[in-house]
Amino acid sequence: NPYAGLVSCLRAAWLCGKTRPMEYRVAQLEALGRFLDEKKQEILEATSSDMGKPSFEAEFSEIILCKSELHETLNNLSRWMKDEHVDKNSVTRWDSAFIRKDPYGVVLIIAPWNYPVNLLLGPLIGAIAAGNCVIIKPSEMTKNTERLVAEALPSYLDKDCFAVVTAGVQETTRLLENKFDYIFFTGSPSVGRIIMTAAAKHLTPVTLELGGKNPCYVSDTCDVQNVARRVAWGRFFNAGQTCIAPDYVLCSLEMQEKLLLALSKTITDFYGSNPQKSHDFGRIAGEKHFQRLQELLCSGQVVIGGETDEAERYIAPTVLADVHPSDPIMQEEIFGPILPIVPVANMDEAIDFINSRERPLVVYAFSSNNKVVNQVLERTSSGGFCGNDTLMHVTLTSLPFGGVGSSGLGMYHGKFTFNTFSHHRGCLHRYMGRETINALRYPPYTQQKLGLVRAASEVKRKGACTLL
Amino acid sequence: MERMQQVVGRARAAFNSGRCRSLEFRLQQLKALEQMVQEKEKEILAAIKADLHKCGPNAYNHEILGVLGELALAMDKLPSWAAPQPVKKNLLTMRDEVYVCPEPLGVVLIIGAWNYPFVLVMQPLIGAIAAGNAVVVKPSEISENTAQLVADLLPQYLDRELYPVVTGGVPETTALLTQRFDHILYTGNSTVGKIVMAAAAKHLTPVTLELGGKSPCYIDKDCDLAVACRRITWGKYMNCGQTCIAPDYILCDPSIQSKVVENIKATLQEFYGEDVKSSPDYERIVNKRHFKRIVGLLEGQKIAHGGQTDEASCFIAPTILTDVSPESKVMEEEIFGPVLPILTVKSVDEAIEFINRREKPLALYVFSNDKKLIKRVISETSSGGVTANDVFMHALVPDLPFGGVGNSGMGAYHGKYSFETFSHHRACLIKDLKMEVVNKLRYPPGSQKKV
Repeated sequence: NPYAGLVSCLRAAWLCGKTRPMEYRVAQLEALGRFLDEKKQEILEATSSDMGKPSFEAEFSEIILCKSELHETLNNLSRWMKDEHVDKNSVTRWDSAFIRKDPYGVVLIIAPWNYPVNLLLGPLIGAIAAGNCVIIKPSEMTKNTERLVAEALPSYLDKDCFAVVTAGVQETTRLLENKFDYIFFTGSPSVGRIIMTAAAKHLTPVTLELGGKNPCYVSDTCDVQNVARRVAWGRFFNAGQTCIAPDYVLCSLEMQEKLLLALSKTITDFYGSNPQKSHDFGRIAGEKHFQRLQELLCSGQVVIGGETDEAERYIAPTVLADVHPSDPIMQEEIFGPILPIVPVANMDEAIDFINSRERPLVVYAFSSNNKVVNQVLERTSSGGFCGNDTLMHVTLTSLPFGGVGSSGLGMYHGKFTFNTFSHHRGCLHRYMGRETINALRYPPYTQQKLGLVRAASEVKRKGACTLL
Repeated sequence: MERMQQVVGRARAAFNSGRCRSLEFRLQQLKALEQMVQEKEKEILAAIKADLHKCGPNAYNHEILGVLGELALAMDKLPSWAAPQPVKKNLLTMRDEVYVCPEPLGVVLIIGAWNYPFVLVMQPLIGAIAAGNAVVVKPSEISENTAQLVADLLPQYLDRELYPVVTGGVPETTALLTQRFDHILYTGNSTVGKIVMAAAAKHLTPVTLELGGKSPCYIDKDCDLAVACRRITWGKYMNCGQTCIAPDYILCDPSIQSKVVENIKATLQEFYGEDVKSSPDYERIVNKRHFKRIVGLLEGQKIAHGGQTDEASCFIAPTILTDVSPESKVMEEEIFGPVLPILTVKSVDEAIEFINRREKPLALYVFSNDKKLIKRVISETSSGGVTANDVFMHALVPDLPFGGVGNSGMGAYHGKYSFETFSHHRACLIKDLKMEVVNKLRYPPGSQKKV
């Protein structure tokens, strides 16, 4: 077991209690902030080399959003760490009942390649804030970022308690043989299953941030140009390699026509007449994914884009029309800059379509009629929901971010990350006196005792429930 | 296998029909459950008695009172639990609707345990129904009378398609676990817990595992020993020690070991009289297999009190062992029986170290007059839950989450935590299609100015 030594070192550090004091956690978090500030240029360069990430996108998604999470955490850490006192309705007033937030111990964070810094630091911030020791495994797909993290990050953090492990598939499998106290994984559902199966051997709790095909319903009543902008932005950001990108559009044939015109204009506004020359459009992260995406272009009709350049791993911002549910592009999460439009007769058909498939990470609905947006919300199920925009729900640190069904289990962001990496321990500190009250519960049991116990502890219904 | 597919398939079709989503429907089902518990109290107590030799008042206290309390709480709070929760907005979303909406997960599976066979099926069921799910209930086959009763009663009071009961043993449970559920709550031991989680992993099904372990009980020299020992005795020997949060073993200073034994002996006398075997308030071991297992743990031990056994009736007397070695068999597994080992430690530091060297337990107990010491023990250890200066009681506070950590489990339930466990918390952001000018900042072409 090649990693047993590392894990047991971290576990020894954990048992010493080093990571528990708030001052320690704050110091480590502030160091992370310095990493983001001092290594900003290197991060922008690495993500640019790895996947042609435009500096605007990299700065926004990898630096600014991370710093938001960091500040939110530092601002609130002392409050989050405090014991939560609860209603003491079935204990005496001399007792103290509270929820203690305990760290789990040694946790493992496995990050994906599409937002290699954000999706690594996001969970890391919460894991440190919650007082854990952490093994960090950046994605091996984005080699420059992996190298940057492996070389630079350890010098900012306490090496006794935090380690970066670079590993491919084989090594990660070996890493997973070890016992961790929590595993946080971001990636595909098929690997998610492997991770959870490995975790089951040690009864390790997990958070799995997975994916799926995020549907985007566009109703006939809407401002088409605004819709086109918001959908295009969400679809083509990071060249489509975003777990919450709108994967496909559902709309009427009539709306499809209007959308195609609006999307064409938007794409030109965003990226110019030749997006390959734009500084604001990314590239595909690896050869395998490039090939995979190229093959999907045969679905439906290419109305906008469709150009590819293997040397640059460039795929133009592409829109496919008249896509059929059985087309190849509708069988897997696209994760690329291709937007299929699947025509449906009406909202009901769109909802049925969505519900006949696996629950996605997010459902999008666009309409100027709020009732339509609410109908789609109420009649579907997904990790999250965003009406009349794309991606933005994850920029709010007050909203939990996570999937449901095959799009994932668990959630994070803001205080939800802290909670994810904490064990909520129910604690009751009782008074040693007043033993006579306890006498009711001791044998020998009598009907009389029972009567008194029933009277004393029964929760009575407060009045009549108006719904009945 | 086919039968399981049909049962789960019917439950899923019933869930998809949408009828269990309305609050009215859920409240109606909870009310029906309440009616069932009230009308069939005698039958429920009789089944528990047949399974565990548990007397009426005891069974009522453990299994019925708690269930009625959970039902009343759920019916009272459901509207507020199920309501969308608005959250803090930022500058960009000031004019938008931002909230978290609790939603049902779908079809959930509840696997019960035999030691508190009624409440360990009912309490999760209440939360699952309240959260709007369809529920497949699988009571433990070891407490067969209660299992059969649950299978007979639930269809009489609840929607038959939405809340089916599946009875059976290992083969039936294995077949059930191949089906896809949207959450599984399992109560039992760590070995089977791993099997349940591995099966769940195939479908990416979230799980709540209420497992067990050896719950330590540290008695400080500075405490009211008589009171401490009475409370420990109550918790240890209730249900003949077959309680997941029973104090498994005691850690104390050698100088108070004999006083602890004396106090427990005196309390046992008070509780069960001279002849424990004839006390109506003392239960039996659930079956021969567990009886033999527990008797095996006594081998080579110094029995300070008790030790009498009777295989025919699965009777094991309340037993205390002293000067137990940490390496002995009785310290290797969760005892789950009326055998209380006492191990001596020279200080609270040694106790904390001892506890931390072992798997994280479901419960931790510490008795002391010294508040600082209690705080220290809590802060320097980890466990599912804690009660200081008593046993069990943290599990009875409705607003405290009840669950394990590490080997003792994952996830939590009770009260509103049951509702949350069986819900998906969906983040919702509803924006306006207008106000596009605000969005222009984020669109390409990008530039440093925009950043």
